[in-house]
Amino acid sequence: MTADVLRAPGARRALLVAGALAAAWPVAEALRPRRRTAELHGAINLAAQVPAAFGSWQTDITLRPLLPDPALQAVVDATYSQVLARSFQRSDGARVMLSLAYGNDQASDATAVHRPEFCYRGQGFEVQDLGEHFMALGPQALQVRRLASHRGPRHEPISYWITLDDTATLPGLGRKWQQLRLGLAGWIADGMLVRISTLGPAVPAAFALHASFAADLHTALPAALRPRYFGGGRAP
Amino acid sequence: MALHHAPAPALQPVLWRRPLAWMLAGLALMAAPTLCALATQVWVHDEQGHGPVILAVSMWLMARQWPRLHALPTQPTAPASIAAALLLCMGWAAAVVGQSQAVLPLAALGPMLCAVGVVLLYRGWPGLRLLALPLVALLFVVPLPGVVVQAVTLPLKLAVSMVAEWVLHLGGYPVARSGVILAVDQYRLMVADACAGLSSMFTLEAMGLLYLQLRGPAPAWRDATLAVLLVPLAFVANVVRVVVLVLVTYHLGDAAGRGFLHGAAGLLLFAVAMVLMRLTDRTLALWPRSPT
Repeated sequence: MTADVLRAPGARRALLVAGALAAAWPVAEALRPRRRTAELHGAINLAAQVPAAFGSWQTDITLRPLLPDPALQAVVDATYSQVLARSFQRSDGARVMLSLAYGNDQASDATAVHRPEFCYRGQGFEVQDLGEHFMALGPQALQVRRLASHRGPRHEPISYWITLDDTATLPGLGRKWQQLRLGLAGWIADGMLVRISTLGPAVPAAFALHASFAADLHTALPAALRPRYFGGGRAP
Repeated sequence: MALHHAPAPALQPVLWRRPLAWMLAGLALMAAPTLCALATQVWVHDEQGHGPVILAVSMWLMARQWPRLHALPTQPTAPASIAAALLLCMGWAAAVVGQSQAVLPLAALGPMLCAVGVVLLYRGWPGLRLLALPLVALLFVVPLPGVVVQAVTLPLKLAVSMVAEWVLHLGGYPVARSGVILAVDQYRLMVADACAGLSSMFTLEAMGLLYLQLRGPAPAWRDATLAVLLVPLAFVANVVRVVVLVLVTYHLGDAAGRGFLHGAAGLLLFAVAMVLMRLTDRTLALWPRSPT
């Protein structure tokens, strides 16, 4: 670099700015999170870990939870490591549909694709947001979002939540912020979307059934796995 | 036209020796990984396909202004330098956090803020005013969050479906509509997100900007009116696309319909929009000028 070029007006400043701009990429690479919380807390195997029968619930193969349409399924397969859709019937005849989507790497904005609001609307359902409510799981209060969906004669109330590592959250800025904090600390958080739904009108009794199913499943899971499915672990 | 260069040192610096070139090179290095990520993750989808077009149009507009930018007096004022420093810091932080944490909107915003900072450093506020339009256009390269796209696309899809159904009824075709699904004969066609055209609306606005630049000077109210009218024009163009698709499928079968969809549909959309835009512009030009 010849001296006269550096004497040009603003040259030194420009060099500094240019250097800083060029450094952004290497610095970002260094800050990219590399450790996975999945490896820290143990692998998730939805099909094996969700019991086929527990409490007074049995697997019901006659009722199939709503699956994404094939185009969307391809996207889901690309973004999610495991998906499980299973229905259960209680001894008194009550039936519940459970749908789980687990992602080993939640760093990219993949959950948006699988959120019931989009998944159901994409298949012609009308979805109404009924707000956020709490489900009692022993000492823990799990925050869930309730939706009322319907397509023609099919009415399906839905309760869902998302886990990030071992805490439960709902989609929104709060979750993004949590993800960011984990990421800046070097962690790639895993997480899953848990969706419970039943067929019938969206009345309080339906959501009470969702809650009782969730509580039974919570009890049935080993203590070590509970935070991964229901949150309640230490805050990140 | 003679280019007036600002007072330069004794030796005429070659491009690579110019301070601006270094800053632009730094900016390019900062933006490169984000552009790759956008290209592979966002721009492949029809609903967000407007990015590259807007980026290209914006760069072209900026390149066009280069002689006038370079001719401005060199020294930016102190407030401009401070503003530039702030923008560069914010942009740098946004780029680093966005890129490392894979938050694309943030990663895209970073280089943008830095670009504004660089312009301020180079030619101060006058320089920024000159490049205001293309820089603001860059904002539309930032991918929109999914919730926003969904919220706007759904009513748009419904509106396009409804108008398309109405038009087909006028033509006497037996079309039934259920939500965003049009059923004609044994065919069922769903008006997809891409057909609603949120992305194509952005692209058409960018093309409109290009058209305005190429067409030449005109009263500001005409340009502004045209820019606003482009939104309903884009809607009309989308309706035409859906109607043509239904007609092709009805008369020539499903395979022909799919072929049209992946090939000529996009071209038809832009052709119709361009024609409508030109017609609107010529109509606006007929408006009697108020005596000044």
